[in-house]
Amino acid sequence: MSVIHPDQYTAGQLAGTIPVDRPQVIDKRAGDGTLIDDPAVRAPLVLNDRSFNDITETVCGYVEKKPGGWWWPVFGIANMLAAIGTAMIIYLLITGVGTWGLNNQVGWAWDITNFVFWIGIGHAGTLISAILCLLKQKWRTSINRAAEAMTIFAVICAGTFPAIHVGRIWFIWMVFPIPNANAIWPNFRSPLLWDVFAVSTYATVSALFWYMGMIPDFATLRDRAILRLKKNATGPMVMPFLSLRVDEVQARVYGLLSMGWRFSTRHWQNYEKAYLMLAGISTPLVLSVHSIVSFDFATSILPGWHTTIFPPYFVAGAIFGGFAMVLLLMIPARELYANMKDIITLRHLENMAKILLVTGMMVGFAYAMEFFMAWYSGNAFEADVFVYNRLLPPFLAQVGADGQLKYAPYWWAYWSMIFCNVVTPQVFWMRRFRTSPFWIFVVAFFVTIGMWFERFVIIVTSLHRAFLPGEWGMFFPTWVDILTFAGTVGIFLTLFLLFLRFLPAFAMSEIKNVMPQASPHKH
Amino acid sequence: MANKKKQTVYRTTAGETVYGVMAEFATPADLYHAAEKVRDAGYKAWDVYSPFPVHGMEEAMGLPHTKLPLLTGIVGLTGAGLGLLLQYFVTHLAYPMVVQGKPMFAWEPWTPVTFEIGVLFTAFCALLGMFAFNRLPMWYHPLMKKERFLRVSDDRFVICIESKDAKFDPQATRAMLESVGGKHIELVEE
Amino acid sequence: MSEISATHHHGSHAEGHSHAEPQIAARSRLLPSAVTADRGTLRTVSMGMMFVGAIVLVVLVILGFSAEGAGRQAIAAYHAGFLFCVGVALGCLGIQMILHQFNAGWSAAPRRTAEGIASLLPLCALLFVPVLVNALIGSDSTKLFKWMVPSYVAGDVLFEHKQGWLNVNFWIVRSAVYFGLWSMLALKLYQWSRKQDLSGDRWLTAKARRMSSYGLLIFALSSAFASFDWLMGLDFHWFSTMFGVYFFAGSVLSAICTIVLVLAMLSNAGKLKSVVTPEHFHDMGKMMLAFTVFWAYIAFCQYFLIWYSNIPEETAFYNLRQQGDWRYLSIFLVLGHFVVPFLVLLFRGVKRTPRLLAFVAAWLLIMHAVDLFYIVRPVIKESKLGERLIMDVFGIAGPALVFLGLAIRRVVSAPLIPLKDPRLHEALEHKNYV
Repeated sequence: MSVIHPDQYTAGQLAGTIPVDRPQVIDKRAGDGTLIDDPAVRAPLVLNDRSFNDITETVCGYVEKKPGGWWWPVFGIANMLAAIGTAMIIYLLITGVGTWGLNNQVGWAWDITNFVFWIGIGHAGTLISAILCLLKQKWRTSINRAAEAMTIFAVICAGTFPAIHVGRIWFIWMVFPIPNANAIWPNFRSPLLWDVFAVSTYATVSALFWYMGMIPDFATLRDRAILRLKKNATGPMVMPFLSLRVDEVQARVYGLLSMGWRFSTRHWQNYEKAYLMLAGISTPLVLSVHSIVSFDFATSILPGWHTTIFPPYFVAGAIFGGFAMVLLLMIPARELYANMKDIITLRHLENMAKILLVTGMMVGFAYAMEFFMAWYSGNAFEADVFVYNRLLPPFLAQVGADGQLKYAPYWWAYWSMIFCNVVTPQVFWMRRFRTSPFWIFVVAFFVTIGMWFERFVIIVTSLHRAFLPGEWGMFFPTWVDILTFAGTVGIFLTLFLLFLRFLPAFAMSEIKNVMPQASPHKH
Repeated sequence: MANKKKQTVYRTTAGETVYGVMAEFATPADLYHAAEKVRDAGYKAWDVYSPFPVHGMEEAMGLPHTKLPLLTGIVGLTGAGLGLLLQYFVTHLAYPMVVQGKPMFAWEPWTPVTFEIGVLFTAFCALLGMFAFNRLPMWYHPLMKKERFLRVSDDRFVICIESKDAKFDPQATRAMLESVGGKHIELVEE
Repeated sequence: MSEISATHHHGSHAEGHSHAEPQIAARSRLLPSAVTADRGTLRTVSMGMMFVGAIVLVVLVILGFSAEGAGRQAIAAYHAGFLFCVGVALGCLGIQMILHQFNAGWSAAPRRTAEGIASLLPLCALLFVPVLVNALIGSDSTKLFKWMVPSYVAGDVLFEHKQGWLNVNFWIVRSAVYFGLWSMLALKLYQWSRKQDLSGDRWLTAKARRMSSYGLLIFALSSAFASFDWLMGLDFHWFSTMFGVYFFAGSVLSAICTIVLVLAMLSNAGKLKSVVTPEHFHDMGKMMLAFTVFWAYIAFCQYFLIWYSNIPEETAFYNLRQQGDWRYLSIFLVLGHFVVPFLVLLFRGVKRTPRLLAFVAAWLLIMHAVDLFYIVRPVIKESKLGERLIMDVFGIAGPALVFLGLAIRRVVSAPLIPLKDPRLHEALEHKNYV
């Protein structure tokens, strides 16, 4: 065997015994320099050759410097919406759930739609911080903090709805297993109780995860404030009539929050393990939470609600809606804040656009499966829900057995959902669209609307017509319904703006860790 | 273990107790190699400070694996067990009631809450265990008085060898830190 | 465990010092003897497996004809075995496309195994032939799919409703389409990867990534409908929207296990030294853990929603499997497919020790076969669990042995890693830091 096998030839090339030549092709479509298609080149995660200090200055600057002129007007509007929402909630609690458009037929409508909408949005935060962490997707470091913050705020908005929809809110404690004089205990066989445990666990664990990630960054803010104080003890005051200096307040508050973190390797070791474990446990948690939310519907026998694909389908939809919200928040933010484009590059946006495309298809896959099974099962009620409650628009109405026109009264909601969730993300097959912040923003906006409609379609169209035509009715929202939802948008935005103003919006220590100069083997 | 038998207390001329000697390094690579040399020199009571966890530093320092995962696993499973017990108590002992014609003892409806409570315990144990293992919160530390040390939270890298180490000697340790490339070597007072 | 981490620590320690340029370090490990298999021994092993598998299949056929009613049981067991093979190959196709989509650098080292096994998908079509023959010329009493027996479905309202989907011609066409699509994807990916070995054209990686995007869409739809046609259709009254995902979860898990098994075997034979390292096994172990949990999640949700709603037309599936001895198999599946491997895989030491991990992988592969058996076999109501058990074992073992033998043969006939993958140096440098 004197002939060299081609495999051995190439192996020899790799061993260095046979020379190799590999021409470098430069991708001219590289945008800001991160949209590299070349598989041999890894796109930089931070642009413009930033140093560690640049990252510290940039990220701490968002907290330490006064925000731009846009901040107060936006904050004012968000606050106003939040105030309206709060007023609506108070009005509801005083008057009763009759102020909403609910009726005998449709007992769940905007309240639970909004609940599922918000809790779904929360899932992207955990996905980015936990699942992408486990998958070692380093690009997550640029957006994980904001996404985690968004998770908490979305869960706050979500939790509001089930709490206020119970009607007599002063009995809300009954959802917890608390010993009481009547010896009444909650029903652990009810999906609604699982929801209580799932959502409260989710809120708690997300908050722990978020807080833990911020500890080193709090320490950075603390140390900077101390250094400023050492240099100049007469900095600006918090308010003219208070004898408190901003730096002093920062040093104390961030100091308290940082728990005395001092960046020790012995600490980092436990910290990283704990972080990984939180990521590991958050991943099944995030799956379980939206699965349990889907159980609210899927454990019933209602056509349109009861189907086995609901748990993973809800999870995919949650990630889909959540990523859209992250994009809706971060695309304007990176325009408004200085140097944020160095941290959130076009590559990051492209990756998120791809995730929108994938999760959008997963949702589309579930829609298709539901439709196929509605037919394949041979269950007439199931087929009816899909065709005559959701699908058929009036202009395609069919004449029923009783001579009346049959069409789906909520066809517009169904088709809005299909258009927004399945059709619009398809533009991301084209590179031009998925690398353009403008188009990503537009699609993310559609997706957010579509995901709200998805929950509306699932809840209202399935409920509004029960098995007997005598139980048919329609749902229309009242102004209280609409303003309460607008109010939660206000609460969400208010909290997010406060987060951008006062907390480290980026995980500095994690970003520094994925920069090339962080490698201990770099010379 | 060896470093525990001798406890020489060093004092500065001003009479303050010495905590240790700290040296600054410019890059993670310098820090990494210096740490390896400090490890090989046989120091035990020392630590490396960096703005982010430098990959592989535990090995460079020769630290053993942390026991935190084991603890967290045990606590998590205990939590899940307690969750199951709670549901058993409520559904079977405190308030037995047939609901939806489902069997009293079915495990199926108990799964979600059992899981959630297990997760809750795990998460708390991971965070609080991290604090406990790290002896945090500790809002005072001698190093925090050093202005140079405060820059670690930005972009500096520091090694500090503590005076309680058996091999610690103010002059020799300083010389050793200098020889491994440390800059701005300072004495740290308690 | 401590010994292992200690030796490992010294290895990485040395690397950190001596190599400024990672690519040079990478190349010195890719000696021909490390990345190409000695064709002799492993081929003998694979030939042996295929030979034994063929004998087992012959015995199965003889047994199938030996007794009244045994034919249907034989084809059912064989069907489970066939789906086991397809599941592994299909999972390998899915997993490599997913890894391409994630731009995963570490995966370059274990990916070739997945490519090789997935490229057997056209051969899996041959394994389908007995099922096809049974559908076409089997007598009414031996036909595996009851809906293919006209006398059985006469007057069945549900069948009449589904006739547009459930008719033999369309069923064959669909099966052909599935194999066609999968073969196209798998062969393209394999060819490009092998072409890259010779030409070093790194844009082939970009091409593979691009094809994986729509490839995954094709994969998701086709594998879901294949699972409807080949598994769910066994009881044509029953339906579950989740079923495609269930099949996907099991297939990908079994694919990862097969890859681990093959790589552990190769490293046991002294190959791939410091190419596929404990770091890679660690990550594949994590994937095994993840998919064990994912499978359990999907399996639980499907069972749970049907149990809770308690609608007769759906509970039929689980009713059948919770009666008689099948109940014990259900419990065994919960313990063996989820609880035990889950607890074992939680340990870091298990994931980082190739031999231990290979043991868990082998166990999970067997459990995956049991899972398929659990779906297929109870529909043969004329034979209880344990009756003519030898046929059940042979039915699964026959095609599985032939297939795994082919898989080994395919893997060792090419370089064991994609030699010129542009990310190979990343894969070789790969380390789990936390």
